Amino acid sequence: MAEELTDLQALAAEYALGQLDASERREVEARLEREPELRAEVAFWEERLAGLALTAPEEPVPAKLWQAVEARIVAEQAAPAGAGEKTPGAWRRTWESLALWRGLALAGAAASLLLVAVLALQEPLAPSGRYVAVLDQGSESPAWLISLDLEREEITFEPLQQSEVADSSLELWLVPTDGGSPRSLGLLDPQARGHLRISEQVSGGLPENAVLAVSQEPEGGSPTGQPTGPVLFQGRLLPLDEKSD
Amino acid sequence: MREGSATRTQNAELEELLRRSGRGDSAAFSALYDRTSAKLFGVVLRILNERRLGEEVLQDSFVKIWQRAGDYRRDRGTPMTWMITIARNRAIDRLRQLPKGEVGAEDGLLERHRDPARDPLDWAIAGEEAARLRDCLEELDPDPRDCIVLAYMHGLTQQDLAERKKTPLGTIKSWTRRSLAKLRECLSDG
Repeated sequence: MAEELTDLQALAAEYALGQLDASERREVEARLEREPELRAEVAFWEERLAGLALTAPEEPVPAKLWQAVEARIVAEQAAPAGAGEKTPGAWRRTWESLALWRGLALAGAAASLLLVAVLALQEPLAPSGRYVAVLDQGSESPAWLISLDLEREEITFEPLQQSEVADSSLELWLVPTDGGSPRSLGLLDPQARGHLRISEQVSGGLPENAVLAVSQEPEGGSPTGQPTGPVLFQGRLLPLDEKSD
Repeated sequence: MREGSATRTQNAELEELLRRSGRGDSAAFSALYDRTSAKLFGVVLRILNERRLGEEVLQDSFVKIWQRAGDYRRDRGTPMTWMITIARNRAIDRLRQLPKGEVGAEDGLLERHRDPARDPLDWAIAGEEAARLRDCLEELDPDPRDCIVLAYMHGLTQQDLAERKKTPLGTIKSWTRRSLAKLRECLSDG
Protein backbone atom coordinates (compact mmCIF):
# COMPACT_ATOMS: atom_id res chain seq x y z
CA MET A 1 0.00 0.00 0.00
CA ALA A 2 1.47 3.28 -1.08
CA GLU A 3 1.95 5.96 1.50
CA GLU A 4 -0.20 9.05 1.24
CA LEU A 5 1.32 12.09 -0.39
CA THR A 6 2.01 15.13 1.72
CA ASP A 7 0.25 18.30 0.57
CA LEU A 8 3.51 19.57 -0.84
CA GLN A 9 4.09 16.37 -2.79
CA ALA A 10 0.55 16.44 -4.16
CA LEU A 11 0.81 20.07 -5.18
CA ALA A 12 4.10 19.41 -6.97
CA ALA A 13 2.63 16.44 -8.81
CA GLU A 14 -0.51 18.29 -9.82
CA TYR A 15 1.57 21.18 -11.06
CA ALA A 16 3.78 18.86 -13.11
CA LEU A 17 0.74 17.04 -14.45
CA GLY A 18 -0.69 20.37 -15.55
CA GLN A 19 -3.89 20.09 -13.56
CA LEU A 20 -3.73 23.47 -11.85
CA ASP A 21 -5.46 26.59 -13.13
CA ALA A 22 -3.60 29.73 -14.15
CA SER A 23 -3.53 31.43 -10.75
CA GLU A 24 -2.55 28.24 -8.93
CA ARG A 25 0.27 27.77 -11.43
CA ARG A 26 1.57 31.27 -10.79
CA GLU A 27 1.46 30.59 -7.08
CA VAL A 28 3.48 27.39 -7.43
CA GLU A 29 5.98 29.10 -9.70
CA ALA A 30 6.52 31.86 -7.16
CA ARG A 31 7.06 29.26 -4.44
CA LEU A 32 9.47 27.27 -6.64
CA GLU A 33 11.86 30.20 -6.50
CA ARG A 34 12.29 29.93 -2.75
CA GLU A 35 11.35 26.35 -1.82
CA PRO A 36 13.98 23.80 -2.77
CA GLU A 37 11.86 20.91 -1.51
CA LEU A 38 8.98 21.83 -3.78
CA ARG A 39 11.42 22.37 -6.63
CA ALA A 40 12.86 18.88 -6.16
CA GLU A 41 9.39 17.34 -6.10
CA VAL A 42 8.34 19.12 -9.28
CA ALA A 43 11.59 18.08 -10.98
CA PHE A 44 10.98 14.47 -9.94
CA TRP A 45 7.61 14.41 -11.68
CA GLU A 46 8.64 16.43 -14.72
CA GLU A 47 11.46 14.01 -15.43
CA ARG A 48 9.50 10.84 -14.76
CA LEU A 49 6.34 11.87 -16.60
CA ALA A 50 8.15 13.10 -19.69
CA GLY A 51 8.04 9.50 -20.90
CA LEU A 52 4.34 10.01 -21.55
CA ALA A 53 5.08 13.01 -23.75
CA LEU A 54 7.51 10.90 -25.75
CA THR A 55 4.53 8.83 -26.92
CA ALA A 56 3.37 11.82 -28.97
CA PRO A 57 3.84 11.36 -32.71
CA GLU A 58 6.11 13.83 -34.47
CA GLU A 59 4.25 16.60 -36.29
CA PRO A 60 5.73 18.40 -39.29
CA VAL A 61 6.69 21.95 -38.36
CA PRO A 62 6.20 24.72 -40.95
CA ALA A 63 9.53 26.12 -42.20
CA LYS A 64 8.59 29.69 -41.31
CA LEU A 65 8.63 28.78 -37.64
CA TRP A 66 12.40 28.43 -37.53
CA GLN A 67 12.79 31.79 -39.23
CA ALA A 68 10.60 33.36 -36.57
CA VAL A 69 12.63 31.75 -33.79
CA GLU A 70 15.88 32.90 -35.35
CA ALA A 71 14.61 36.45 -35.85
CA ARG A 72 13.50 36.67 -32.24
CA ILE A 73 16.84 35.43 -30.98
CA VAL A 74 18.79 37.90 -33.09
CA ALA A 75 16.51 40.76 -32.01
CA GLU A 76 16.85 39.72 -28.42
CA GLN A 77 20.62 39.60 -28.55
CA ALA A 78 20.48 43.20 -29.61
CA ALA A 79 18.35 44.11 -26.59
CA PRO A 80 19.84 46.78 -24.32
CA ALA A 81 21.76 45.71 -21.24
CA GLY A 82 19.60 45.20 -18.18
CA ALA A 83 16.49 44.48 -20.21
CA GLY A 84 15.51 40.95 -19.32
CA GLU A 85 17.10 37.74 -18.21
CA LYS A 86 18.93 37.12 -21.45
CA THR A 87 21.35 39.98 -21.31
CA PRO A 88 23.69 38.55 -18.68
CA GLY A 89 23.87 35.39 -20.78
CA ALA A 90 24.79 37.35 -23.87
CA TRP A 91 27.42 39.15 -21.88
CA ARG A 92 28.69 35.96 -20.43
CA ARG A 93 28.98 34.39 -23.85
CA THR A 94 30.82 37.37 -25.21
CA TRP A 95 33.08 37.18 -22.21
CA GLU A 96 33.75 33.50 -22.68
CA SER A 97 34.47 33.87 -26.34
CA LEU A 98 36.91 36.65 -25.57
CA ALA A 99 38.64 34.64 -22.87
CA LEU A 100 38.83 31.59 -25.07
CA TRP A 101 40.01 33.47 -28.05
CA ARG A 102 42.70 35.10 -25.96
CA GLY A 103 43.74 31.60 -24.91
CA LEU A 104 44.47 30.73 -28.51
CA ALA A 105 47.55 32.96 -28.31
CA LEU A 106 47.01 34.67 -31.60
CA ALA A 107 48.95 37.64 -32.93
CA GLY A 108 50.28 39.93 -30.24
CA ALA A 109 48.67 43.14 -31.39
CA ALA A 110 45.26 41.55 -31.68
CA ALA A 111 45.70 39.87 -28.32
CA SER A 112 46.45 43.13 -26.57
CA LEU A 113 43.43 44.67 -28.25
CA LEU A 114 41.44 41.85 -26.73
CA LEU A 115 42.93 42.47 -23.34
CA VAL A 116 41.72 46.05 -23.53
CA ALA A 117 38.29 44.75 -24.41
CA VAL A 118 38.35 42.40 -21.45
CA LEU A 119 39.30 45.24 -19.15
CA ALA A 120 36.55 47.36 -20.65
CA LEU A 121 34.12 44.56 -19.82
CA GLN A 122 35.24 44.33 -16.24
CA GLU A 123 34.85 48.01 -15.61
CA PRO A 124 32.84 49.95 -18.16
CA LEU A 125 34.38 53.40 -18.67
CA ALA A 126 33.67 56.33 -20.92
CA PRO A 127 33.85 55.15 -24.52
CA SER A 128 36.67 56.40 -26.70
CA GLY A 129 34.86 56.12 -29.99
CA ARG A 130 36.60 52.82 -30.61
CA TYR A 131 34.84 49.51 -30.33
CA VAL A 132 35.67 45.88 -30.78
CA ALA A 133 33.55 42.80 -31.40
CA VAL A 134 34.35 39.14 -31.67
CA LEU A 135 31.79 37.44 -33.89
CA ASP A 136 31.22 33.77 -33.50
CA GLN A 137 28.85 30.90 -33.94
CA GLY A 138 29.56 29.84 -30.41
CA SER A 139 32.40 30.41 -28.04
CA GLU A 140 34.48 27.60 -29.50
CA SER A 141 34.68 29.12 -32.91
CA PRO A 142 35.43 32.85 -32.93
CA ALA A 143 35.22 33.72 -36.60
CA TRP A 144 35.80 37.43 -36.95
CA LEU A 145 37.56 40.17 -35.08
CA ILE A 146 35.96 43.49 -35.92
CA SER A 147 37.14 46.85 -34.69
CA LEU A 148 35.26 50.04 -35.30
CA ASP A 149 36.63 53.55 -35.10
CA LEU A 150 33.93 56.19 -35.04
CA GLU A 151 36.33 59.10 -35.44
CA ARG A 152 37.99 57.65 -38.51
CA GLU A 153 34.67 56.26 -39.74
CA GLU A 154 36.30 52.97 -40.41
CA ILE A 155 35.86 49.31 -39.65
CA THR A 156 38.70 46.84 -39.67
CA PHE A 157 37.81 43.21 -40.04
CA GLU A 158 39.96 40.17 -39.63
CA PRO A 159 38.85 36.60 -40.38
CA LEU A 160 39.98 34.20 -37.65
CA GLN A 161 38.87 31.09 -39.43
CA GLN A 162 37.86 29.87 -42.83
CA SER A 163 34.27 30.78 -43.64
CA GLU A 164 32.65 28.83 -46.48
CA VAL A 165 30.75 31.16 -48.72
CA ALA A 166 30.60 29.49 -52.10
CA ASP A 167 28.45 31.54 -54.51
CA SER A 168 27.46 34.00 -51.85
CA SER A 169 28.68 37.05 -49.96
CA LEU A 170 29.12 37.76 -46.28
CA GLU A 171 27.47 40.99 -45.26
CA LEU A 172 28.18 42.79 -42.01
CA TRP A 173 25.31 44.46 -40.17
CA LEU A 174 25.02 46.87 -37.33
CA VAL A 175 21.98 45.78 -35.34
CA PRO A 176 20.60 48.60 -33.17
CA THR A 177 19.21 47.96 -29.73
CA ASP A 178 16.11 50.07 -29.98
CA GLY A 179 14.27 47.76 -32.32
CA GLY A 180 15.40 49.70 -35.39
CA SER A 181 16.39 47.90 -38.58
CA PRO A 182 19.86 46.50 -39.11
CA ARG A 183 22.18 48.79 -41.08
CA SER A 184 24.47 47.29 -43.67
CA LEU A 185 28.13 48.03 -43.03
CA GLY A 186 29.36 46.34 -46.18
CA LEU A 187 30.71 43.03 -47.43
CA LEU A 188 33.49 41.09 -45.72
CA ASP A 189 36.33 39.41 -47.50
CA PRO A 190 36.40 35.92 -46.00
CA GLN A 191 40.06 35.44 -46.97
CA ALA A 192 41.85 38.51 -45.68
CA ARG A 193 41.96 41.36 -43.24
CA GLY A 194 40.38 44.50 -44.63
CA HIS A 195 38.66 47.80 -44.02
CA LEU A 196 35.21 49.22 -44.60
CA ARG A 197 34.32 52.90 -44.78
CA ILE A 198 31.38 53.74 -42.60
CA SER A 199 30.02 57.24 -42.48
CA GLU A 200 26.31 57.56 -43.10
CA GLN A 201 25.65 54.35 -41.17
CA VAL A 202 27.03 55.90 -38.00
CA SER A 203 26.43 59.56 -38.74
CA GLY A 204 24.01 59.83 -35.83
CA GLY A 205 26.46 58.08 -33.51
CA LEU A 206 26.46 54.44 -32.59
CA PRO A 207 23.40 52.88 -30.94
CA GLU A 208 24.08 51.79 -27.38
CA ASN A 209 24.90 48.12 -26.84
CA ALA A 210 24.74 47.43 -30.54
CA VAL A 211 25.41 44.02 -31.96
CA LEU A 212 27.28 43.15 -35.11
CA ALA A 213 26.03 40.30 -37.21
CA VAL A 214 27.16 38.64 -40.42
CA SER A 215 24.56 37.18 -42.73
CA GLN A 216 24.98 35.07 -45.80
CA GLU A 217 23.64 36.95 -48.82
CA PRO A 218 23.50 36.54 -52.59
CA GLU A 219 26.74 37.52 -54.32
CA GLY A 220 27.16 41.27 -54.15
CA GLY A 221 25.13 41.62 -50.97
CA SER A 222 21.52 41.76 -49.90
CA PRO A 223 19.27 42.92 -52.72
CA THR A 224 16.79 44.45 -50.27
CA GLY A 225 19.03 46.48 -47.98
CA GLN A 226 18.02 44.21 -45.11
CA PRO A 227 19.43 40.81 -44.14
CA THR A 228 17.82 38.08 -46.23
CA GLY A 229 19.99 35.06 -45.50
CA PRO A 230 20.87 33.18 -42.33
CA VAL A 231 22.85 34.93 -39.61
CA LEU A 232 26.19 33.11 -39.50
CA PHE A 233 28.10 35.06 -36.86
CA GLN A 234 27.31 37.64 -34.29
CA GLY A 235 28.79 39.45 -31.34
CA ARG A 236 28.31 42.46 -29.14
CA LEU A 237 30.19 45.69 -29.81
CA LEU A 238 32.28 46.52 -26.79
CA PRO A 239 33.53 50.05 -26.19
CA LEU A 240 37.27 50.43 -25.66
CA ASP A 241 38.42 52.80 -23.00
CA GLU A 242 40.39 55.91 -23.92
CA LYS A 243 42.82 55.88 -21.05
CA SER A 244 44.87 52.83 -20.31
CA ASP A 245 46.81 52.50 -17.09
CA MET B 1 15.94 1.98 -33.62
CA ARG B 2 15.89 4.46 -30.78
CA GLU B 3 16.53 1.88 -28.12
CA GLY B 4 19.59 0.88 -26.16
CA SER B 5 22.82 2.43 -27.24
CA ALA B 6 21.04 4.37 -30.00
CA THR B 7 19.13 6.26 -27.33
CA ARG B 8 22.32 6.96 -25.46
CA THR B 9 24.03 8.22 -28.60
CA GLN B 10 21.06 10.40 -29.38
CA ASN B 11 21.04 11.81 -25.85
CA ALA B 12 24.75 12.50 -25.99
CA GLU B 13 24.29 14.34 -29.27
CA LEU B 14 21.41 16.43 -27.98
CA GLU B 15 23.35 17.17 -24.82
CA GLU B 16 26.29 18.44 -26.82
CA LEU B 17 24.04 20.57 -29.01
CA LEU B 18 22.31 21.98 -25.95
CA ARG B 19 25.64 22.71 -24.29
CA ARG B 20 26.89 24.56 -27.34
CA SER B 21 23.61 26.42 -27.67
CA GLY B 22 24.09 27.54 -24.09
CA ARG B 23 27.33 29.16 -25.14
CA GLY B 24 25.67 31.01 -27.97
CA ASP B 25 26.45 28.61 -30.82
CA SER B 26 23.64 29.33 -33.25
CA ALA B 27 24.60 26.51 -35.63
CA ALA B 28 24.30 24.00 -32.78
CA PHE B 29 20.96 25.47 -31.81
CA SER B 30 19.75 25.15 -35.37
CA ALA B 31 20.73 21.47 -35.38
CA LEU B 32 19.01 20.99 -32.04
CA TYR B 33 15.87 22.53 -33.48
CA ASP B 34 16.00 20.24 -36.52
CA ARG B 35 16.19 17.18 -34.35
CA THR B 36 13.60 18.01 -31.74
CA SER B 37 11.03 20.45 -33.11
CA ALA B 38 8.72 17.86 -34.72
CA LYS B 39 8.52 15.85 -31.51
CA LEU B 40 7.94 18.92 -29.38
CA PHE B 41 5.30 20.10 -31.82
CA GLY B 42 3.54 16.77 -31.35
CA VAL B 43 3.67 17.20 -27.57
CA VAL B 44 2.34 20.76 -27.77
CA LEU B 45 -0.44 19.87 -30.21
CA ARG B 46 -1.76 17.13 -27.95
CA ILE B 47 -2.35 19.82 -25.35
CA LEU B 48 -3.55 22.69 -27.54
CA ASN B 49 -5.10 20.72 -30.37
CA GLU B 50 -4.92 23.77 -32.64
CA ARG B 51 -2.05 24.33 -35.03
CA ARG B 52 -1.84 28.12 -34.95
CA LEU B 53 -1.68 28.22 -31.17
CA GLY B 54 0.68 25.28 -31.23
CA GLU B 55 3.06 27.10 -33.54
CA GLU B 56 3.01 30.14 -31.31
CA VAL B 57 3.84 28.05 -28.26
CA LEU B 58 6.54 26.09 -30.08
CA GLN B 59 8.16 29.35 -31.15
CA ASP B 60 8.13 30.68 -27.59
CA SER B 61 9.45 27.37 -26.33
CA PHE B 62 12.47 27.40 -28.60
CA VAL B 63 13.31 30.97 -27.71
CA LYS B 64 13.17 29.88 -24.08
CA ILE B 65 15.27 26.79 -24.76
CA TRP B 66 17.89 29.04 -26.33
CA GLN B 67 17.76 31.42 -23.38
CA ARG B 68 18.05 28.67 -20.80
CA ALA B 69 20.27 26.18 -22.63
CA GLY B 70 23.18 27.21 -20.43
CA ASP B 71 21.22 26.10 -17.34
CA TYR B 72 20.76 22.54 -18.55
CA ARG B 73 22.43 19.94 -16.35
CA ARG B 74 22.41 16.20 -16.85
CA ASP B 75 20.90 15.69 -13.39
CA ARG B 76 17.79 17.47 -14.65
CA GLY B 77 16.93 14.57 -16.92
CA THR B 78 17.78 13.91 -20.52
CA PRO B 79 17.94 16.87 -22.91
CA MET B 80 14.66 15.75 -24.45
CA THR B 81 12.77 15.58 -21.15
CA TRP B 82 14.20 18.97 -20.21
CA MET B 83 12.96 20.51 -23.45
CA ILE B 84 9.62 18.73 -23.18
CA THR B 85 9.11 20.31 -19.76
CA ILE B 86 9.70 23.78 -21.19
CA ALA B 87 7.34 23.23 -24.12
CA ARG B 88 4.66 21.55 -22.02
CA ASN B 89 4.68 24.25 -19.37
CA ARG B 90 4.29 26.89 -22.04
CA ALA B 91 1.46 24.95 -23.68
CA ILE B 92 -0.37 24.46 -20.38
CA ASP B 93 0.03 28.16 -19.55
CA ARG B 94 -1.41 29.08 -22.93
CA LEU B 95 -4.27 26.62 -22.52
CA ARG B 96 -5.16 28.10 -19.15
CA GLN B 97 -5.31 31.61 -20.63
CA LEU B 98 -7.98 30.60 -23.12
CA PRO B 99 -11.68 30.79 -22.44
CA LYS B 100 -12.85 27.41 -21.22
CA GLY B 101 -13.85 25.06 -23.98
CA GLU B 102 -12.35 27.14 -26.78
CA VAL B 103 -9.60 24.71 -27.62
CA GLY B 104 -8.12 21.73 -25.91
CA ALA B 105 -8.72 18.05 -25.97
CA GLU B 106 -11.13 16.86 -28.64
CA ASP B 107 -14.32 15.01 -27.89
CA GLY B 108 -14.15 11.28 -27.77
CA LEU B 109 -10.73 11.36 -26.19
CA LEU B 110 -11.85 9.34 -23.24
CA GLU B 111 -13.40 6.64 -25.35
CA ARG B 112 -10.29 6.31 -27.43
CA HIS B 113 -8.18 5.93 -24.34
CA ARG B 114 -10.24 3.02 -23.15
CA ASP B 115 -10.13 1.26 -26.49
CA PRO B 116 -6.86 -0.68 -26.65
CA ALA B 117 -7.05 -0.86 -30.43
CA ARG B 118 -7.04 2.92 -30.71
CA ASP B 119 -4.88 3.74 -27.73
CA PRO B 120 -2.95 6.88 -28.67
CA LEU B 121 -0.18 5.97 -26.25
CA ASP B 122 2.44 4.72 -28.62
CA TRP B 123 4.99 3.41 -26.18
CA ALA B 124 7.04 1.93 -28.98
CA ILE B 125 8.08 5.36 -30.21
CA ALA B 126 8.66 6.60 -26.67
CA GLY B 127 11.76 4.43 -26.38
CA GLU B 128 13.27 2.79 -23.35
CA GLU B 129 13.33 5.92 -21.23
CA ALA B 130 9.58 5.61 -20.97
CA ALA B 131 9.50 1.89 -20.15
CA ARG B 132 9.58 2.38 -16.39
CA LEU B 133 6.73 4.87 -16.50
CA ARG B 134 4.67 2.55 -18.69
CA ASP B 135 5.16 -0.34 -16.25
CA CYS B 136 4.18 1.82 -13.29
CA LEU B 137 1.11 3.21 -15.04
CA GLU B 138 0.00 -0.29 -15.89
CA GLU B 139 -0.18 -1.12 -12.21
CA LEU B 140 -2.91 1.48 -11.70
CA ASP B 141 -6.62 0.81 -12.06
CA PRO B 142 -8.07 2.13 -15.33
CA ASP B 143 -10.05 5.11 -13.98
CA PRO B 144 -7.33 6.51 -11.74
CA ARG B 145 -4.85 5.88 -14.53
CA ASP B 146 -6.93 8.02 -16.89
CA CYS B 147 -6.70 10.89 -14.43
CA ILE B 148 -2.94 10.90 -14.75
CA VAL B 149 -2.59 10.18 -18.43
CA LEU B 150 -5.29 12.55 -19.69
CA ALA B 151 -4.13 15.34 -17.43
CA TYR B 152 -0.54 15.02 -18.53
CA MET B 153 -1.09 14.49 -22.22
CA HIS B 154 -3.94 16.88 -22.81
CA GLY B 155 -3.76 19.32 -19.95
CA LEU B 156 -7.15 18.40 -18.49
CA THR B 157 -7.90 19.84 -15.06
CA GLN B 158 -9.61 17.79 -12.40
CA GLN B 159 -12.79 19.70 -13.18
CA ASP B 160 -12.46 18.78 -16.88
CA LEU B 161 -11.97 15.17 -15.90
CA ALA B 162 -15.00 15.21 -13.63
CA GLU B 163 -17.14 16.55 -16.47
CA ARG B 164 -15.82 14.18 -19.07
CA LYS B 165 -16.01 11.16 -16.86
CA LYS B 166 -19.33 12.26 -15.33
CA THR B 167 -17.82 11.56 -11.96
CA PRO B 168 -17.91 13.75 -8.84
CA LEU B 169 -14.94 16.06 -8.47
CA GLY B 170 -14.18 14.57 -5.05
CA THR B 171 -13.80 11.13 -6.60
CA ILE B 172 -11.48 12.49 -9.30
CA LYS B 173 -9.40 14.18 -6.63
CA SER B 174 -9.02 11.02 -4.58
CA TRP B 175 -8.29 8.89 -7.66
CA THR B 176 -5.60 11.34 -8.68
CA ARG B 177 -4.04 11.49 -5.22
CA ARG B 178 -4.04 7.74 -4.84
CA SER B 179 -2.57 7.19 -8.32
CA LEU B 180 0.11 9.77 -7.73
CA ALA B 181 1.07 8.16 -4.42
CA LYS B 182 1.37 4.74 -6.06
CA LEU B 183 3.21 6.14 -9.03
CA ARG B 184 5.63 8.04 -6.87
CA GLU B 185 6.49 4.89 -4.98
CA CYS B 186 6.81 2.83 -8.14
CA LEU B 187 8.91 5.42 -9.95
CA SER B 188 11.20 5.90 -6.97
CA ASP B 189 12.12 2.20 -6.90
CA GLY B 190 15.27 1.18 -8.64
